[in-house]
This record gives sequence, structure tokens and C-alpha cells, in this order.
Amino acid sequence: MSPSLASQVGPLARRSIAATLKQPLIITPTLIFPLFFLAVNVPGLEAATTRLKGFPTDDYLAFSLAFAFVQAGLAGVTTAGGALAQDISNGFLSRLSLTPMKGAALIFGSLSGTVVLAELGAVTYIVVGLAFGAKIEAGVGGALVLLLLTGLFALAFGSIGIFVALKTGSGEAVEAVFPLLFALFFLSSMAMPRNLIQTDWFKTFATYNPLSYMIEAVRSLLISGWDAEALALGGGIAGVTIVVAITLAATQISRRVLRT
Amino acid sequence: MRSGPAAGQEIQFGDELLIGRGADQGGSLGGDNELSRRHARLVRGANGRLLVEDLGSTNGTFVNDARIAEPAMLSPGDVLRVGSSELELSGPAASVEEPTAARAVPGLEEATVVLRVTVGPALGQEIRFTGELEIGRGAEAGGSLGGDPELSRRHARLSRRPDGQLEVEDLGSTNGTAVNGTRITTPVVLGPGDVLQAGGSQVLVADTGTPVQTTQVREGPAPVDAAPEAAPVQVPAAAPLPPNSIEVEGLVRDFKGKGRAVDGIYLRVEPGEIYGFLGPNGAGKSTTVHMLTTLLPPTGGTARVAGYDVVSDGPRVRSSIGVALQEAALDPVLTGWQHMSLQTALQGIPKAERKQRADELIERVGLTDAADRPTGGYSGGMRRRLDLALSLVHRPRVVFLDEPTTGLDPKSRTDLWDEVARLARDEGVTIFLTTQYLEEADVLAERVGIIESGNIVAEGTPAELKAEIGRPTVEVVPTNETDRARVSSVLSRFGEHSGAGHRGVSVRLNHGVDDLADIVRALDAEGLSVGNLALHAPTLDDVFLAKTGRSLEESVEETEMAQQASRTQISLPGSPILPQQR
Repeated sequence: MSPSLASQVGPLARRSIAATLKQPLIITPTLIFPLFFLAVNVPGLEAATTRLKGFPTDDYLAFSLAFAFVQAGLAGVTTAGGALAQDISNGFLSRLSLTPMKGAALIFGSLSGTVVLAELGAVTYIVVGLAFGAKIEAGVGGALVLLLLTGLFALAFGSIGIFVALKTGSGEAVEAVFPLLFALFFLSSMAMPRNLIQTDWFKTFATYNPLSYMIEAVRSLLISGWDAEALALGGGIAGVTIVVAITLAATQISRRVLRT
Repeated sequence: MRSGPAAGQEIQFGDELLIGRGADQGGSLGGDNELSRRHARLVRGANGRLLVEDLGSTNGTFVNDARIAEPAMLSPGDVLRVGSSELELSGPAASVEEPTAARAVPGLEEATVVLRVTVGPALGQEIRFTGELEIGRGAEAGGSLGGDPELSRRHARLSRRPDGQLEVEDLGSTNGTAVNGTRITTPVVLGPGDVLQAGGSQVLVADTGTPVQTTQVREGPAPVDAAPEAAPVQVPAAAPLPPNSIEVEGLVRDFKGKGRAVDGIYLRVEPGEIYGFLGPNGAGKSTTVHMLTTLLPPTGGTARVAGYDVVSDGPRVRSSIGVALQEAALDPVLTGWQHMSLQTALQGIPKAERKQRADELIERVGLTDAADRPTGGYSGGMRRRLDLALSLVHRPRVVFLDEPTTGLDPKSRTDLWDEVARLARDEGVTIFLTTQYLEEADVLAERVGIIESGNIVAEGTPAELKAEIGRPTVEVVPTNETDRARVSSVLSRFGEHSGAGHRGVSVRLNHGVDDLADIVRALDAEGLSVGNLALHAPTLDDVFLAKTGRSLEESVEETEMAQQASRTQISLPGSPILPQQR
């Protein structure tokens, strides 16, 4: 009798978490980069943006903090995808292929490290944000939902990384996806609410950019309290991304985990 | 047994006993390494007399010091000599046994019980007994199951019931006795196909010696001659495992745009054999291993590993094999223990046994002190040893080692050889080993297949292959380098040149060592001064040269140089990608 899926996901998840948390070169950028971004942007833009008519809050730190949670999830592309690409290139996946490992166990196990790392980042951003005076309008419950959303984002972006790794087997290809997705941040509502964007093409792009809705879901908890529509849109987009990316990854498993 | 590794032991058998290194019962004579793989056979003729027959052994079979060419009749008191062992036939029945604590049960017809060890230190051995067999660390010979350390001192007993059926009872062992996976609390009747578990061993009941039996595990404290109310629980009998052999017929692998890597090879590896697959890089060794381990589907032919087809029965093949691929694929961030934990879990080892199995293997490969450290800091030898340990966690019956010692220092290499040899010798594991090292194939492999350009160009024991080449080589180094051409000219009268060394001239002699005196005289007559003259027995490299027209060592060097060039090439902008290595 072959081992159950649950009994396989556990050890693969532990391996993924241990491998992720033992690498400072992975942890540090995820935790530090968004904070650095905030440290540069908030003091420089706070006075100008919060004076704009219709700007939704006076708390520009809380407004900007939303980006950090989504970016923590975005790091999943390279942490989950990069680790799997490395397993493919160094033959570790062949070792796993010779066990009764199920493809689903590989995918879910590989995502664990990036989810834990994203949650670590989310806790850090909440602590730093509160320490510097930001408020979470949705309260303690909102903080918990923040953690939940960050986990969903990590799963969504991590799944994209897993798919690219399985499709290409190349760490370089996985690395190349990150800047593409990161560029989408600048074409989203990251720095300005969509209704205040004056340039038509930018406003249109931001409206169709899924990242806008992920940011707005997080932002709603920070600056306006409970907004069911924003949460449903942000969470829904993450959910759809997870389903689509994992489905695509599953189509590549049999090709990459090559065995008769 | 009068002499040899099993001296003093008594061996019994039924109608036939195969003697040889490959024999899976008492026939290995305690692991006598001077036996041929299939050395001789003892059979009982129709008239009840015992015959011995030599099976084409290398060093012959002797009865009362006379080598036999044809089957010979044996009588009590005759002395049979095979390999380094001498056996004296000690009674009219001349019956032999994998030594056991056997006792006849009075009043019952004697019937031989045949047990086959499928897991544990005595893996592959067959145990035969009549009457009763006690299993335990304190039991004599066969009952200790190869010295299984997990057995209690008095673990279990197999005996006949009054009705003649075979039964097993636990003797208050620490970790219990199980039949077909169910721990027993009262005596249980055994039938053919039942699997008995005791300590770290599993034993298949191959023959109970009685005509019809039903396996029953009774619940509750009912006595053996059970009262009717003790309802028996039927336990399905386990099917016997197929032999752990490798059978390959016409195996082909084509790569689109890169040609044929393996070109219809045929080979057979016997259970418990170490088979060396020798050839330079790119010859098709790794492609063959990938096909046999189910990682790469063949484009033609068939292959069965441990009795299962590699294409249609992949999961069963994988559950039967352990694989250490060419690169020891380890996660540099994880420790040795973490690797073992992951591997034991994915292989479905029960949680309670994982730690023990990991401890056992880590200790066996000598990594106890290093197992807490991330493998990124391991040496090549340590990585290889951990790789081997990982491949063994699920107790595979066939192990594939793809160039296991490439890049290792001599000490690490010999350590690994020792462990591989132990696996085959003590646990009956079949080993398929690819290598590009002649010495490795010569030392380790019982049989060698030489592969070149996807074809097996020679196969046999190292001794057979060398004997096929037959003639030795003489190498002469002239004192003056300028005399080299003249020395070459003289030597050419005695045989064909066989590739020159750095300083000397080598010739494979037409008439063997008999030419040596004539060569010395001829060199002297020409006034040539010789710095060194050496006679070389044929080597596997000579075999490779004879079969392929080039030296294996030169082939390896050429391939390495080509790879070096390719690596240099791909570092240049716009250069093509390195083609996939075969």
C-alpha cells in the first residue's frame, strides 16, 4: 500500500520550510525590501498624497503598508519555483521520483516554505507598522485576515513559480518571472487609489491589473475596516490564480517527474 | 563440513542441493568465495542414491580427491571437495540442511519444511528443517535468521501439531511475532505462502511438507487444539516475491535528433549477483540504468527488474529497487538525518521504525558523527555514502549504482566497495553497477558487461573475459629512447602491438610466455640495451581493446577532454548548449 497524500505532504513541507528558513539570502530580501521601500516612500510622498482631494486616509503608512503584504506573497515565485528548479537541475527530483511520491504532494509540499516565509514577513510588517503608528482599522480580526490573505498570495505566486519551474526546469526562467510580476506593481493601485489616477491608460491598466485588487483587499483592512467586496475580490483573485496555476503545474508533473 | 568457511556445520536437504556462490541456501557453504557461481549439484536419483554433478565450475568438483567430469554416485563416507570446502557424507540418507535446531516429532511422518527469508540479514537464504525449529538470537544456525539482532533470545517456535500441520508460536518475544502482518498471541497454523515476521526478518513459508493447510490466526487465548467457539480469523496468504533478477531483452533507447544511445542490448543478472556494466562516458550506461529504474521509458525491447516489467509495472519496480544515480543528489541545506527522515517517510516506512532504520543505515555507512551537519559541507565520499544509505531505506532487493565511485579518493572508494560487496554477500541484494574504472569492475563484479556505443560487446566473469583474450603482453622499455623503433621492430616478430606505454613498447605475444626467452635473445642479438622488461597478464582493458579497437582508459580520457572542450565552448557568448549526456 502506498503512503497517503497527507503522510507525504508533511515531510516534503518540513523539508521546504527547513530549506527556506536556513537561507538568509532568501529570508532577508523578503523581510527587508518592503520595509526599505516604505522607509523611502512614506516620508517623501505622505504630505503630497494625503492632501489630494478624495484620498481615502490620512494614514499614508497604513495605505502604503498594503503593498508589503502582497510583495511578501510575490516572493513565492522565486522561493518555491527556484527551489523546485534547483531540485530538477541537481537530480534531487529524480531521487524523489523513485519513491512512491505523489505529484500533488510535491506541489503542496514545495509551497510550504514560501507560505511560512510570507507569514513571517506579514507578522514583521504588522509589528513594524504598529510600532511606527499605523493602525489596522479592522482590528485584531483584521490582522488575522491579513495573515490569511498573505498566505493566499504566497500560495498563488508560489504556484506560478512551481508551474514555471516544472515547465522549464530552469532557475533562470523562474527568476525572470519575478521582475515581470514586480513591474505590474507599478501599474497597479499600489501608490494611488484607482479613482485618483489621472492618466487614462494607467487607470485602465490598473483596473484590469489583478494586483490592484490584492492590494486593495489588504488596504481595506488597514484603512477602512471590513469591506466585503474588496476582500472577496482580492481573495477571489488569489484563489483563482492558485487553482489555475496548480492545474497547469499538475499538467507538467508527469512530464517532469518522468517515470513509467 | 570438514573444512572451509562453514567447517563443522551440518547441512541437510531434500531431493536437490545447488552448491555455488549464487546458491541461496546452505549451498553457499558459508560464503566460500572459491566456489563458482553455480558450482555443483547434488541430486537424489530415482533409486534414492545421491549423485553429484559439476556445473562447469572454474576449479572443479572432486570426490575422494578425484576430479569428476561426469555425474558421480556418492556413498556415506565419501568426501566431496568444492572450492575451499570439503564435505563428508555422513549417513545413508546423506541429507543436508541449512543448519537448524531440528528435532523429529515422534509418531509423525518426517516432512521437510522450506522457509525462504525475504527480509532481514539472512535475505535470500532458504531454511529447511524437519520436526521443529526454534527462532531466536540464541538459536543455532538457521534459527538465528542470519544473526538478526532484533530477535529475542528465544523468539518463536515452529513445530508440528498432532494432526501434522505446521504451526508457529511466539515464545514471549519482546517485539512479537506476526503472521501475514497480524501479531499472534496464540499458536497459529501456517500454510504455503504465509509470511512470518520475527524481529527484523520476514520469512516466507515456501513448503510446509504437508499436503493441505489453511492459514488461521486465532484471536483470544484459545489453545492450539482449539475449542469450536474460538472462531478462526482467515488471513489472506501473501504471494511469494518474484526473484530479484534483472532480465533485459533487446532494450533500445533513441533520443530525437541525438541518435540511438542504447542499441538493443540483452543481459541477465542473477539474484544476489554483482553485475558490472563497464564502458566510457557516453557508451549508454546511464541511459540503461535510467530505463531499468523506470526513469526513462525504452523505445524498444523489454526489461524486467525483480520480476516486474519496467514499463507496465513501474511502481512495483520502484518499490523493489534502490538507486544511487551518477550525481549524489542531496539538498545542501538539509542534514544527513533530515535526508533520512524525508526518504523513510516518502518510502512509507512506518513512523515507529523510521528512526531505527535511519540510525542503522547512517551507522552502517559510517556517517554517525556527520549526520547532524548540512550535506553541503560533506566530502564527495560522504555524499556517496549517504546516497547509498538513502537508496537502502526501504530494503530494496535490487540496487543500481551509477558510477558510485567516480571522483572519490582511494579510501572512500574501497569503503564503498566493501559495503556493496557486503550487501550482495550478506543480504542477497542484486547489484547493477556501472563504472568506467577497470579496477572496480575487476574487484567487485562477478560478471561484467562491456558496453560501447550502445552495444554490449563482451560479457562474462572478469576471469572469463581475460581468458578469452588469453595471451599476455610484454612491455619493453629501452635504455636509450632512440632505440625505441628498433625495439619495436624486434618485438613485432613475436606478436602484434597492443598500444604503447609512455616509454615502452608493448606487444601481445603470439605464443604467450614461451616467447619470452626468445625475445630476450633477439634483443641481445640486436645489441639493444633494455631498461625494463615486464610481462603483463591480460586485463579488462585488453579485453576492451580487443573488442572495440581502443583502450578504455584512452576512451575515458578522450571523453573527458571532449567534455572539457564543450564546457569551455558553452561559456562563450552565443555558443550552442551542451548536448545532453548519454
